[in-house]
Amino acid sequence: MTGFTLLEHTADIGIVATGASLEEALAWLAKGMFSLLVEPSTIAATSARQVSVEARNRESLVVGWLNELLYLYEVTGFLLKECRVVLPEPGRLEAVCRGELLDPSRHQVQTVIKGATYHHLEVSGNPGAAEWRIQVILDV
Amino acid sequence: MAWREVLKKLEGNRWELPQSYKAGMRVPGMVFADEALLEVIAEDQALEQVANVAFLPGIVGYSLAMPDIHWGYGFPIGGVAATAVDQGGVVSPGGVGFDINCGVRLLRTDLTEAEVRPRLKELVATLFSQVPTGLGGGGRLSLSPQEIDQVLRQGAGWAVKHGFGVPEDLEVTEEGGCIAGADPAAVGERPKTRGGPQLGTVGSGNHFLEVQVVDQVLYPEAAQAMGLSQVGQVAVIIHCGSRGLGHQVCTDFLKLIEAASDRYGFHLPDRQLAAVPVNSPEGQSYMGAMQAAANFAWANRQCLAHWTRLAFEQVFGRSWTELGMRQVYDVSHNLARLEEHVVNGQSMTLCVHRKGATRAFPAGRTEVPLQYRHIGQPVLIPGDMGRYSFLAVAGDKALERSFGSTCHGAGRAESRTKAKKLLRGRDLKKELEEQGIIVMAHGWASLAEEAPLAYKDVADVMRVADEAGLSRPVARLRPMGVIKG
Repeated sequence: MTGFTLLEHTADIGIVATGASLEEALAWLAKGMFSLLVEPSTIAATSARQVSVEARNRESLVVGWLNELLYLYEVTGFLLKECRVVLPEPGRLEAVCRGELLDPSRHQVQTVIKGATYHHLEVSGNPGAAEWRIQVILDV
Repeated sequence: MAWREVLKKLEGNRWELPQSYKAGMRVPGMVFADEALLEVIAEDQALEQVANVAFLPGIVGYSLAMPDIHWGYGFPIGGVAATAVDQGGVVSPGGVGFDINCGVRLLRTDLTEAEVRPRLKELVATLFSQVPTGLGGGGRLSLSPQEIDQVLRQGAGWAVKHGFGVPEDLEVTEEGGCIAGADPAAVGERPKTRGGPQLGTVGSGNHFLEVQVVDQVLYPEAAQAMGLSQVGQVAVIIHCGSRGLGHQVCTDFLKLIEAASDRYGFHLPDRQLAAVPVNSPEGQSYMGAMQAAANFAWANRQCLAHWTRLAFEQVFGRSWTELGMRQVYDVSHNLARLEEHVVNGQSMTLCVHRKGATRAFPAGRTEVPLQYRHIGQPVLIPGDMGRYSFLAVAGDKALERSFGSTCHGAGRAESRTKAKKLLRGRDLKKELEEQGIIVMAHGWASLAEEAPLAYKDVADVMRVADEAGLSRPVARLRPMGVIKG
């Protein structure tokens, strides 16, 4: 199974993303986060952005990835529709993200996401595993 | 988890979580709740978080939980922890949260419900257009990088200097609207780029602006001092924080401190609790950045209060001073502050983290503005948009029991997703309108997530805080109009 689901949390909201590889799970995680901001069907993949993240371990890389996308969104209005993630070496993530800039006449922003947290952060899977799973709690 | 078997009941709605509950706790936990509230609290993981906070190096007294405690990330929301600065005590960005200096401001008016009711729809619509939520766009201000640095240094004073309000507002704002020690350089570029354009916006989530009416006066002497002593009197409450600037300060420092926490050899049960000694280079840098973000939040609420007054002027055709729109008070409920407290008979400097908790300093403390020093610090406790909020005052046991802290709101009872599920197909806006509450919000979802049924009854929280001596109710206010991001 690949994709994402939303997780119940009393005050905030969690995302669980799964994929056949860690890269794929990271891509679903990003899509899950943007689904909270704007209805995904209203986002067109008309422009691209390159995103790079460095971190000292896998968990920090996951948090850093989401926080980098949030920063990009809040500063430029970039809404992610889809992305391709590669992990060229441990602690480094490179992604090509496709989407478009926020247009208030077409996109209804549903919430503000303040940040991705380390609380109950889980990354499971091993090289060669058939399924990878990431769980992140966001402060909304 | 059978929490009942773990917790030790004490008088005054207090429950002790023994230090022996979990190896590594440096102090016991203390939860302020009655039987009924405890039942709700025990449903999620908030009590486990109280235990986790007790691991923080240098923590003194108790890891405290206010009556509105609920599951947060790292710290519980409603959590208070004080660390002894001179004994290696730490500061934890997770104990402040992403929304640094999220807080509440209350404006009084001389208007009565009878005067406002016929114009309510127009008033709410005017507020909605005058006071930007900032969703899907920036605010009304455009600041240069130099000006943003001035905001970070001067806080609400910057806004007053630029015509948003009057100096008297600062006298009734915690820290005078400007906390000492702010270091704009420590904030860095990213928070300023992200949050700078958002100055003067409300945001979304549980942030709001509400027109309310006093429906009960419970402590006339204090109500008199605060200028809200008449049943039927209209007031405005504003709840928001430091927007993207604070969020990014937290994001950037979490990354830094999460790594540094390991270097200091701290073993904490949740990475979101990552901490460094207050007196360390990283700790000092975080304190300077957090204080700067706190000032940004006070400037933000100052601007919003100003536009609120202008909206009232527009609708009622009189100046805001003629309408009696003085500020009652402005409190922060997400902050770590250096304060002097007496612990085991010794006076010491503590770094008091209040994460979803309000400072409540009693009568006589020099931090309390002169006009309130005889009654104690005002405390603003908003409830949900369908019921009521409380204006309160610090209780006589707050200093000794909670480092001068009390609750900050009703506390969530249901998750956002659950609230939406429960309300599917219902026209919440119309239901509230039938109760006489006019709401304007950005979409159904943001409204449903904050629906009354998602929250505990703030009256229960208020009563427990009162019985525990943390804060005493002064007046109850009922919502009339709400704007939300």
